[in-house]
Amino acid sequence: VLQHMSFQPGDGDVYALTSKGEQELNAGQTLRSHVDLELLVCIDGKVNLAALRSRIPGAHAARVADSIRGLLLDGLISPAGKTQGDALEFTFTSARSAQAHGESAAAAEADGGLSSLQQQGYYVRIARRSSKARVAPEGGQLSVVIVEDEDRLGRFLGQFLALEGFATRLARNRGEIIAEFRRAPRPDLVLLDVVLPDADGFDILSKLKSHAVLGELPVIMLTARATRDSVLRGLMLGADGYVTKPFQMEVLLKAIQTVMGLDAEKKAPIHRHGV
Amino acid sequence: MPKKKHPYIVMVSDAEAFRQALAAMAAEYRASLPATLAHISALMATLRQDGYAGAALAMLRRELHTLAGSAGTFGCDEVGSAAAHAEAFLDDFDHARSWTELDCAQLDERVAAVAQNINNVAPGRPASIP
Repeated sequence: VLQHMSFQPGDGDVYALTSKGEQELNAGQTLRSHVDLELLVCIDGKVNLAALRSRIPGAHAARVADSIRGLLLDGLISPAGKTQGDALEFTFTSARSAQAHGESAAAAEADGGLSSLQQQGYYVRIARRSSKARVAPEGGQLSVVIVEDEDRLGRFLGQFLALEGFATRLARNRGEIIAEFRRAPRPDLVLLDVVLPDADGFDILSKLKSHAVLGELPVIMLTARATRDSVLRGLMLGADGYVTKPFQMEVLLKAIQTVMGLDAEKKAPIHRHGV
Repeated sequence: MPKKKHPYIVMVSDAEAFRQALAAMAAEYRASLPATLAHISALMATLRQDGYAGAALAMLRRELHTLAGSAGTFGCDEVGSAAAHAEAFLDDFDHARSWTELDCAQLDERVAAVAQNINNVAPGRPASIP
């Protein structure tokens, strides 16, 4: 079908991720557009194109067909079937098939496959590469605000990132988050948990990304919220990365370097203190 | 007066030192799990009294979520998986309807699995869900 660039994906078309597509979502380093990523998160061999369009905001919907073509051409997705009327004809090629989730095709029929977006157990390591490298201030370090209410995990992250050359600050609740964003120096990166005692990470993300000054800060969601819906919500709100817990530190570090445009071979460019 | 050093905010000079600090933090984490389990146990007791509704349900979900997100990073993979399994049950539950005996039993079973796995990594401090 791709021999013709005029190929138009149909509303009933169902696609599945290829292993290359899975890798794109888990390498912690991608150059794909937001629309491409949103589609890759949704595509699982069950959701049809009409349902996909309903999940992508209006501004992006027109670009869905182009994105699908690009993802097919680049081998990140493959045709997995077609819905015809009320019946679904699946040719599952994805490891994350309906059978793997123990879900019946009948359940998927009811809503074009959208119910699968809410299933737990969707683990990803997404990070969009920034074309512009963050530069530490003269004599200083790149600064990371860690928003994490689990104290030990927050301290652990802080210590690891300090080893890698970052200055870190921990915020565990709404009050501390506000205080950290008001405090100088302005952070260069935010690691943002979603479930917090008195705040919602997605709300914080939304406020950050619409802020006149802080809007350009890269934000990586670091959360145990592991559903396609949650990942999609984070990406749509402008998150630069989404890493599900539990995670490996090396993976997180790679994601951090990616969204900050840093060279993975080097530590953060700093003047290290006491290290 | 000497400065009080935080046990884990140490100056890390190399990867080995970091591994040691991580091991200490993981040990601290494991040592804290019985207290977490005691909290979960108390929440389950409250839930049974309240007919599986109210603030205790939200608190239980939150506790399970935190466990699911942190345990794996500190080497307690099974605890994290069991907590994620129990959390998923609460997430998927239709809270508009009443709890049936089967629902209660299913939640009990999942939370018991969390308790079992915590006891496996925190030996010598057995605890159980009443």
